[in-house]
Amino acid sequence: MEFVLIFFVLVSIVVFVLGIFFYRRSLKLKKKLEEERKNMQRKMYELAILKELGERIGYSLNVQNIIDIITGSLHQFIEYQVVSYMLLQPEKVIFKIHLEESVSRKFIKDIKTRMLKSLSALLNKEFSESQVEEVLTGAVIIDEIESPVQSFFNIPLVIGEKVVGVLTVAHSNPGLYKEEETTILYKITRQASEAVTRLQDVISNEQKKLSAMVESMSEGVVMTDNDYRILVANPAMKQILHIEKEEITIFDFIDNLEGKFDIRGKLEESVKLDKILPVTEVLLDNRYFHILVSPVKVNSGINKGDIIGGVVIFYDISKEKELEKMREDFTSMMVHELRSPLTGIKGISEVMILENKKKKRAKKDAEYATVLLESSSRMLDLVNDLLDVSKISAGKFEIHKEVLPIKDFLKTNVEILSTLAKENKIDLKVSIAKNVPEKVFLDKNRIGQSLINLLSNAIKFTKEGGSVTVQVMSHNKGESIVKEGQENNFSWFIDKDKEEFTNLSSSLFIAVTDSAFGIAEDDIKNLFNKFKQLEASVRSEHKGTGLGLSIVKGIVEAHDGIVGVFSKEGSGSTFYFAIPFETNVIS
Amino acid sequence: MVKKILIVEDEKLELMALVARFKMENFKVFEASDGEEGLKIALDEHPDFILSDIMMPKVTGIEMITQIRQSGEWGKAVPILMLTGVVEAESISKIVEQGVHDYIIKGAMNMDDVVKKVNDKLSGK
Repeated sequence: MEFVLIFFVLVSIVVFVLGIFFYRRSLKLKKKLEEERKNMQRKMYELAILKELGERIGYSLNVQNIIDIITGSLHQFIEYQVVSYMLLQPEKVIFKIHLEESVSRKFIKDIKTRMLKSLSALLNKEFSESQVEEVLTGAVIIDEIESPVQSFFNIPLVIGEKVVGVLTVAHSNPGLYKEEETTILYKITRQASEAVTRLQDVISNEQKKLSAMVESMSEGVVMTDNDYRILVANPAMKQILHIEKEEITIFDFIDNLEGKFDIRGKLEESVKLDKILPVTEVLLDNRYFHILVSPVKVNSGINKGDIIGGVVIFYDISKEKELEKMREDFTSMMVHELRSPLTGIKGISEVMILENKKKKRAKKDAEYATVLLESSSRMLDLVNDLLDVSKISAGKFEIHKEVLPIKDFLKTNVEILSTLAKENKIDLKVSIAKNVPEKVFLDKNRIGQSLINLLSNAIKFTKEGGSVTVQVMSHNKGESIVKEGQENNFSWFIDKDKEEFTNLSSSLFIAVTDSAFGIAEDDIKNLFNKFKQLEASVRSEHKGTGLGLSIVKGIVEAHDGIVGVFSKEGSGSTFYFAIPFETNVIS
Repeated sequence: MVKKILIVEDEKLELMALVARFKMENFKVFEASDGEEGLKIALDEHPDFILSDIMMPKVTGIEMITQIRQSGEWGKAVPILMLTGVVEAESISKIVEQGVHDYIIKGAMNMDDVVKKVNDKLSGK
């Protein structure tokens, strides 16, 4: 019995001990599981926050923006009264401090000293208080709170292996920042740093490509920011202005341009007006430059459209200028060499004809002289036409406007051709609408030349017994020219309003209508083309260079006007030109 | 009284034409084919009118008239008409500054015009 009892006792002890053992084990396990769970939760939370931070940092490249985002999110998982950072800038240190809770001035000063010290240690460089630019946000300072800094954690901000600042959290409670907290801070800053470093790599690669391109450009390129600090100046640019040093400022440009080009003023104007400004023909060191000044804008992201500076490009146009000069010299040489002898021949034959009338020389002489006069006159006209055409195509065509009475002007020019019209038995008529102003403002020689060109063409192509009519009216902007013509009882071939009529300003409208054989649709488009006309004149039975119409076009366009033709095959044509009043009308 | 005119022009044919024409118009004509010769004749003969080209070898038209204008009473007063191939406004103003009373652009030159300009000036119009 006793044995059985002892056995039971022993068994129960074993069971009890085992029970306790298992119980304790399960407790431990439970605790461990609980810890694991918590840990997991924390990790998940961390990850979520890191992810969110990552997204918020996005592609921002502004380090300060990124640090602002980090400090703004930090309180979600670390406890602190104050979060602050110091960021190294050229020639200054930004110190931004955010109070989560009120602290004393002394507390802040303590943090500032500690941070400066660690920044100095990290960079092996002394910083003075005067370099620090302080920004304070968050809760108010209360000097009565006397609790000192008891927990403090400093973490360097590194971008691409370079320390750019420090980030700090601080609290007046002791022992707050242990391994866990510091680890997460490290993680966050490391993530931000990696993101920025990566992006900066991309950017610097792009920048290298871009600067390689800019460097190798033969045009001089200089880019500045909005404070006229030089961001880029390529070798070509430095060579143009003979700048040899590496670090250059806008003043080097201003000095070396010697007042020939106001680079600063033009940059300011371009940025202000948000417009590309071309400056033509600046002479530097015997070389001609065409200079373009343009604002530089951000073309993507939230700052899209912001002007961040300006760029100035110097194009060397010396070669073009040289060619242009050669062409001009050639033209004037040609004209001189051709025109002088022709003028002489023409003059001499005129004298011969005049003398013949007096002295009644041999009839043969008079005949020779007439042939000489006709031929030399024709050649002289050609030379003068060619000179006009070359001036028009070189953009050197000058017009000299003056105020003149329109009726006298028309009469004088029509009269010049009345003899020719009579000889050819052509009825030459003029019709002036009532709405034409008394005086107009135009180049009388050139517009006269245009009218004579059109009239002599019309007379040349019209058969005996036909008619040529000059019709002149005022066109009002927006009105139908067809309708205006009807109101003035004009009979011409203008039967529909062309597109260019709708945009035409109020103008003096001059039309010459003939009763010749008209012009085929296909030929109309080449009428005002000098090359096609020269080609045609070689084969034509009619005298003349055919350059007349392209000269008329040049003259009218120099007056900002339009020129054109309406024609009906077999019936005749109406050539017209319009000179806008805007600059021409005299009230 | 027959009027004396000096014509200075380096282009032979043009000179010939001008001389022939003014002779026909009953002028006593002196001719020169460069500025140096023109200046010499001008100072010797004191013509009533000078008609001159600008671009010429040796002494240019502008140099010639500058010297004529500095040569006393006659030189200050003698009317001068220039023939010019240059149309640019700048050159024209330069010509006028030199004491030229009028100019004719060669491209647009017409003998009748030249004769009319000379006669108008001489008859005081």
